[in-house]
Amino acid sequence: MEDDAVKFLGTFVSESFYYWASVVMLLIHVGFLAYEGGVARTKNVLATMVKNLLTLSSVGLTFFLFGFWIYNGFPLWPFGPLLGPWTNPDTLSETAQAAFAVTVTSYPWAENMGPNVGDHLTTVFWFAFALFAMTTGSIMSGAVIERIKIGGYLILSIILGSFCWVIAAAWGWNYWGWFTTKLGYHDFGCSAIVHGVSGFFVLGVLIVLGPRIGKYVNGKPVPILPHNLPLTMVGLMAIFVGFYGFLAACAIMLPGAAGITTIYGTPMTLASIGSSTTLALTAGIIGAYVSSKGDPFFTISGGLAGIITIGAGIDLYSSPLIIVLAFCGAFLMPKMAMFIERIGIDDVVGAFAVHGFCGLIGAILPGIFAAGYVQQEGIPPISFLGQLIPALICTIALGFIPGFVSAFVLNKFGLLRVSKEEELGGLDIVDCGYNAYPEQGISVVDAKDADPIPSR
Amino acid sequence: MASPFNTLEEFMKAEGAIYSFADKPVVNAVLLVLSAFIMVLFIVKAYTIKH
Repeated sequence: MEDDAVKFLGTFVSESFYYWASVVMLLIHVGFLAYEGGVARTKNVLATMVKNLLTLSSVGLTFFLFGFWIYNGFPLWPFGPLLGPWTNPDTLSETAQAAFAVTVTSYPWAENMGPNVGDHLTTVFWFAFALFAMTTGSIMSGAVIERIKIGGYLILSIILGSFCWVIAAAWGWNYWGWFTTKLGYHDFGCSAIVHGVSGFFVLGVLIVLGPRIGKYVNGKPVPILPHNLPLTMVGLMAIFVGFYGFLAACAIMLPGAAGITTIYGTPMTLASIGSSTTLALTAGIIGAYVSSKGDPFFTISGGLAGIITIGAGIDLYSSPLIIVLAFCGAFLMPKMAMFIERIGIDDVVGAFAVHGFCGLIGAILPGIFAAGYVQQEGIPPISFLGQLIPALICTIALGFIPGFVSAFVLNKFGLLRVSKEEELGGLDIVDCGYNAYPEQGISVVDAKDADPIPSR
Repeated sequence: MASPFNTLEEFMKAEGAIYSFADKPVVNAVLLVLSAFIMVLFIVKAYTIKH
């Protein structure tokens, strides 16, 4: 009886850890909602926030239908079998059989994907991964506001959140993923897997989507200021909180295990994830503050840029190294954002600079500052090329190209961008039927028609 | 190499610091000095940045 209780406790600790880490991760979406809503102009606030909200549904449901299977079925492919319902386990190698045993639990019809007293972990892992997927989809949301059709956005969010990044995760953030087994790739906090893929996907979409009307005059960018920067800043603070959950959920804590490990099976401590995230946040804010000369939007985005810059090696970097790298990444971020704006790309929230640029360099950095660590028996140690090649596959092959092509196809069929009239009038009326701040409009309209104030 | 370990076994059985350059304290000392410089720069910039 006592043994059973101890065994249950091990399972419960693991189940609870992922459950609550995922709940904390939901704060990322609270933050994105506020962040984007604040950045939008008053005529687009509700449409912007509703669009972001719908990401939870578009990505959440498709991640259940096929995303979770992609994560578990793709790690060995193309150097091994693509695992799925068609696979005959008798024909598989020992490694592929181990991967296949997990794959069969991730089909939407699998008995593990619902209440099952024999399996406390599959659904909580799905919960955590679904939140990762929604985060990836949401990264695109803010960049494309004020001119994208909700339907077009939802299709893009599914391609990004339930397909592109999931393949990257299967290859580079999975015990059996070939990025790691063939090249020694290490990306603990998903610098390229989540941020690089999504940031470059956004870049591809933005090139096709084009800037907002009025953003460029005679080819020069004109500032379109947020309608509520304080709301944006509070939103980013919520994103910071959510990132503590995100990075904690990147740790592997299994019942019966002798310790906590990374997804690659290497030792780590949860405590250092907390301290390193905090140091990256603080140094990142300083980097962007100095670089942008105190611009509030860039300064607070610097916290995120700092965390993403050190995300891939956060489990291996020393504290002083975290500070220096996070500062440098966040220092460069506003420069990249301004460069992107100058060349005619209207990235409203700087998603490419924060997630794409910092995600790419963040994924490469372990090749220098964590080079030489061996993660599994018989695989190459962490190296510069072993980081660079997967980082480029993530950002270009799984990010930029799918983003550009899918936006191009949607645009060809008139499914991407709203009409000029709708954009000028504001998307709140078009998408939601009313404005976020109705008093502002009613006071003008009703002033003419209102009954006179009765005399006393 | 940044890793303080030569083999997987050393890494997996480590009982102390596992961070990069743990076997080269000079590197982390230099990084610590840079961290302090960043902090000083931050305070100086807080006085000098004006719009």
